[in-house]
Amino acid sequence: MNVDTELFRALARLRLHTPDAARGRQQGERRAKATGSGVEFADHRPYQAGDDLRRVDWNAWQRQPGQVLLRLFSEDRNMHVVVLVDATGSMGTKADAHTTKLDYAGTLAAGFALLALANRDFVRVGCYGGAQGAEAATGHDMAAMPGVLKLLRRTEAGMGCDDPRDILLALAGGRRSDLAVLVSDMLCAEDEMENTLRALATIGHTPVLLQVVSPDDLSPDLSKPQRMVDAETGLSVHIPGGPEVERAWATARDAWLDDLTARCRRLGIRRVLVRTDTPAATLFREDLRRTGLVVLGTGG
Amino acid sequence: MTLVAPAALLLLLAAAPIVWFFLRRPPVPSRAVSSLLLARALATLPQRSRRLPRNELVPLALMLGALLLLVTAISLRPRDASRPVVVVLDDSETSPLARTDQARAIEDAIHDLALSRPDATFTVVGLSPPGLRVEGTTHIQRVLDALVVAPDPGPAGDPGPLLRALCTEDAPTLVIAGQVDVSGVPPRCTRQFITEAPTEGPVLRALASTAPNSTGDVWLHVVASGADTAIVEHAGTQVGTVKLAGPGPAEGVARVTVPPGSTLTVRVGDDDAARSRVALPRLSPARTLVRTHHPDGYLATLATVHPRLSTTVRRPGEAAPAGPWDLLLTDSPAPVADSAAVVAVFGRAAPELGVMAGPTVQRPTVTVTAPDDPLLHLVELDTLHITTAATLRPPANATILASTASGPIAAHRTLEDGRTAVVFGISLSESDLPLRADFVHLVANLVDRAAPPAEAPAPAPERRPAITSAGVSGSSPTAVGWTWLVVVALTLLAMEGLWLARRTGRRP
Repeated sequence: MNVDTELFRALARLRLHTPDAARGRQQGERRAKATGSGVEFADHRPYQAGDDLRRVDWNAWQRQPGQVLLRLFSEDRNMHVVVLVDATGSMGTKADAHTTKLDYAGTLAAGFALLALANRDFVRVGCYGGAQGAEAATGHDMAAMPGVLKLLRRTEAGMGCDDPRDILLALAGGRRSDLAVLVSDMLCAEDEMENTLRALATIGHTPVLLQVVSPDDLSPDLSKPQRMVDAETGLSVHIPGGPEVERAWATARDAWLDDLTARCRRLGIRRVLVRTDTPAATLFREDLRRTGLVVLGTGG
Repeated sequence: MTLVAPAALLLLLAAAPIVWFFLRRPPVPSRAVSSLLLARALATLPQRSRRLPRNELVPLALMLGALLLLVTAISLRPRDASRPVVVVLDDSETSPLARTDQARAIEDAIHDLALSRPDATFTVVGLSPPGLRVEGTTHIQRVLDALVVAPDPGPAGDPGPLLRALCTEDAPTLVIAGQVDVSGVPPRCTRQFITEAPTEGPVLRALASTAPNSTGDVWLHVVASGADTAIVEHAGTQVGTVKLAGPGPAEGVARVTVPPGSTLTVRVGDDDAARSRVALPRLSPARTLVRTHHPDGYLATLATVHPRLSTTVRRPGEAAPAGPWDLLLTDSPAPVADSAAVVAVFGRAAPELGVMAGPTVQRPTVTVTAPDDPLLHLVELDTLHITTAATLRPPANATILASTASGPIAAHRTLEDGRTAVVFGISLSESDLPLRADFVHLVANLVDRAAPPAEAPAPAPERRPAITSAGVSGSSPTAVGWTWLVVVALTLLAMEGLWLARRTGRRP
């Protein structure tokens, strides 16, 4: 896929944001719920045997003699971010004259990875369904960005038979990620859709679905008869043109989107419908900001 | 030309642009979509919208229809309908055409062949000597006329060079009638032999009869093969035989006397093919009045027993039933006062009928002056022995039947009212006329004149020798061409199907 790195400049002042505190294992720039070796005072608790005597608040002991309190500091930890890109054949269709939906999805994934790595978050980027099979790139700082880009660039849409549920669980590495992002068009069978969304909801405290659709997916030109060829299976079906067909298509599309919305809502997944005719920079700066996934400046 | 040939040609001409337009039709655009997931929605569309689009359905249906019609036309077309036909005619002395029945059967075969090939040109080749009898004509009658040949006493010549010359690239069909050596004919020419189907046992080929005359006589004409005698039966009883003779099918004529309305069976054997029947018509009786002084005499007795007559005998002057009468017979000198269609007077002149009396002659020598007159059919007046006879002086419009040196002795005329008057100066008592069969025939002729006999019965269906066609060989180049055409058409159809399948792919 072709990753539009021009997006990276637009992401300079943005950072990922989750409503919950970071749960990374490594020290990072995000305030974690856990208290530890940070510099910002958080609370006191009674001393227990075995606690670090260096954290005993002797001033408080002086004010309240007989009670040994331990100073607790907020610990800055990094986020654990998982980004999974759907590289199945359906993503290989045209988004516009020059790019495919997979290109657009790769750009989004790269953007998420960049935002995460810039904040020293742990990032694991994976692809499934592509011609190369399931692959992943991992890192927790900007040094990992080339690897991520390399992974994304060599991924081509294909007929892979990977089960996205398994890939998601594998990327999570046995723990729930702070942010789990699935970039897919979700044009799949109903049971596959349900399983994928369930896995996404399982591996992430903040599961996010970026549903990448092209204008052609939503409103194809059905005014004339045509033969539709499934990009994944190669199967074709003859479509009689006409307003009646267009109405039927629109009805089916709305039902499909409504069903997907309902499923995401039920599973606690944030779903963002991303049209490929929307510039990626605009998406990050406006659409994703509105959802709270991306914020300006620093902070946690 | 039959109707199928132009129809097939028309279909061919129509199919070409249809196929061309179909192959050049704008292809249905293909669109690669992310998924056919939403295409399922089209399953809920009304059936009308799910049909093939018109621009794809119509050419496809037309092309398939044209091809089907083309194949149908090929299967229905008359084979070899326009190929020339060369009839090789064995007109030698041993030719089967010398036999009348064979000639007719072969004529029928050629006639049927000409009807089945309305566009074909016919050439007739004879063998004795080898040469063209008719060259390249579509006129059937000319061909049939050429089949009527006088057998040549010479042997059949070798038709090989002539046939090889005629067997051109047009590959005519050779129709061989008779024993002809065609071994040298190129194989591209189809050969068809016309031979007589073998028959077993005697066969009664034809039977015809005349209508029974007033004496009940029936003439039979019998044609048969394999027999020299035909037996005529009536009600299970043999009533006559017919001697049969002839070089080909034997034939013969015989007279039998049976009651009118009878059914005659003529057989030459015991098989069905060896017998035939003819139903004689019934004859309406002629109402006859006999005026005579001798009710038991020859005239009255003959008229009474005659099977054709319904006779009433009266003495002159006696009251008789009311007419009309068909026939009035009288040997009385009394003038005729009754009216009948035919009035016959014997032994005198009949002034009341316009035939005056002449001098009486003794032992005259009679000369028949109108031997072909129907009234004298089978009647020989010139051999009569006459003692005394009255000569006549008939009017100018009368027909003199017989005459003597002294004048006419028998005449008949047509009266102004349409009646026929027949006057014989010969007395039945002064001659041997009533003792001879001539008298019976004479009365029968009078009856026939008064009440014409019925039409002759229809002859029995003629059994012509069966003609078989055998030994057809060679292949028709026309058929080969059509076969290739069909193969090419089916190949095109298959290619079209494969092309469609390739463009369509598998349906989900």
